[in-house]
Amino acid sequence: MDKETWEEFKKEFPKAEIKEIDGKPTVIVDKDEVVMVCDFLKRHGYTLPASISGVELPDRFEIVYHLFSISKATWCVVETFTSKDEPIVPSVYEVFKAADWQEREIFDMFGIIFEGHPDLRRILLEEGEDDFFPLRKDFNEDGSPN
Amino acid sequence: MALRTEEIIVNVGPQHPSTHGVLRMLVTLSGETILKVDPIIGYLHRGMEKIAEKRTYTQYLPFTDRWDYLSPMFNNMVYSLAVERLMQIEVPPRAQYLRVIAMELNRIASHLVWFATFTLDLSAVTMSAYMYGFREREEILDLLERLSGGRMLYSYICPGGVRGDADDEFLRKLDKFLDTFPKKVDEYETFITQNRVFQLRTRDVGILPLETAINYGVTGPCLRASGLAFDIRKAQPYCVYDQFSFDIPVGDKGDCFDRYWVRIREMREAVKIIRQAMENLPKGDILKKLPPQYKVPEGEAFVWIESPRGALGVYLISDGGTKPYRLKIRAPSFSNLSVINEIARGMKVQDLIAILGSLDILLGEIDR
Repeated sequence: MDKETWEEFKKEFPKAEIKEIDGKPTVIVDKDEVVMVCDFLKRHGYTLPASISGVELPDRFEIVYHLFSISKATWCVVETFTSKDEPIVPSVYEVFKAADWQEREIFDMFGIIFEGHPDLRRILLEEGEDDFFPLRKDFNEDGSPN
Repeated sequence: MALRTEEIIVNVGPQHPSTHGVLRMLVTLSGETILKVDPIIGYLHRGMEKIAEKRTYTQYLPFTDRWDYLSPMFNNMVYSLAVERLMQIEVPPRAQYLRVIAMELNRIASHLVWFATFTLDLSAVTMSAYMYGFREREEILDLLERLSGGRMLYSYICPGGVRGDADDEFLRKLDKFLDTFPKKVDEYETFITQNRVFQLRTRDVGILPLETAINYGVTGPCLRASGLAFDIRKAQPYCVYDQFSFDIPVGDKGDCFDRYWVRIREMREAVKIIRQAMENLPKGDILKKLPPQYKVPEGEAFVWIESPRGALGVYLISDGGTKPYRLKIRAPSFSNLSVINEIARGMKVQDLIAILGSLDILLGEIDR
């Protein structure tokens, strides 16, 4: 993004923290703002939702959106957090259709609920009665819970 | 008697030759028209991301072969790139060139499998194109075996460089292959490209508009067929791709034929790249040796490369230990398949097979 757009971004989202991680501009935002931030970035050229990933940190879950601008060949990364007791994040499905499957995968693997997702169900694992989320750190590789 | 219409649900797969693996689809039909496609995936889920968290960086390399088992070089490459980025390793120039040769050979091999199975899906058995694709692939597998020791799963590209040097015999055979292969592609084209049945089955079938493609995160030949010349080898060059001259084949409409046409031309471009890499192959080391177990500095890296199916990415987070803290795989087939409901809607049921074949998905990578 050029300077003007960053100024506009800061004006629109004063609470967002801007950093540079791994050579990519990264904005860390509150989860309530994440849909608006993604929409803003989409309008400013970051149209390709390359990847949406879930990460478990010791005290919270992190959702990382890697957005790419094809015309400028640059990245913008959006990070947001949610607590472990109540893992709920708004869905960005309305902005990026790619979120449909990517968020389902995160739900499948971490049990994070995406509010507003049209069809939130398991995608890779079988639907079952048990609540098990394999990519959580307290889940062992052999399938046994801690 | 009054005519009655009724929606029916047809189950395709998971064991079906045209699903290219174990993909199941619930297809809602009204007569022969598709109303909705719901792909059900996960039959090949092996927990590749979880396994990464429990293995050291060296141990995990052979697992990467098994993400997309038709193009393991790219999986090795993207994993190695992520580790190298965090460790800030400089790779010797000869290794960089060998990586490009190995990857582009693998790209041709992967496209040949796609070509063979795609024509088979469209019942081109009588035209023998299926066997022709596998005939040339065999030559490439021999070449890669000479280079890496493996025919299917290589673990050839590793953090720090490559695990085997190109000898004279390899280069001689490669030279011969590069001379003959473009003629073989001409041969395929005489069979298929102008074939009337093939044209009828693929033209204007499964049109993917550019806007939709980007919004769903579709990349690779499928995106380029929709008319956008986006190729990571050009947009964000890695390895030494910035030193080669090659074109990005682009389609205009985004139908099945364009996706076919883009891949056929990509094979020719790959030959060009290998030729340049072979002629400029520098001398020197091929591997910057790392100990069997090493620590990767704390940090995170997201890298992506242009695999035969699209943008293959790895998001690697290290906590400074000997194992990855988190490794997320951005699989191109996963995003490419997610668009199928969008483009198959309104088409006839037999077109679904053509569309699925033209997307060139690979279930090992989708399910991980």
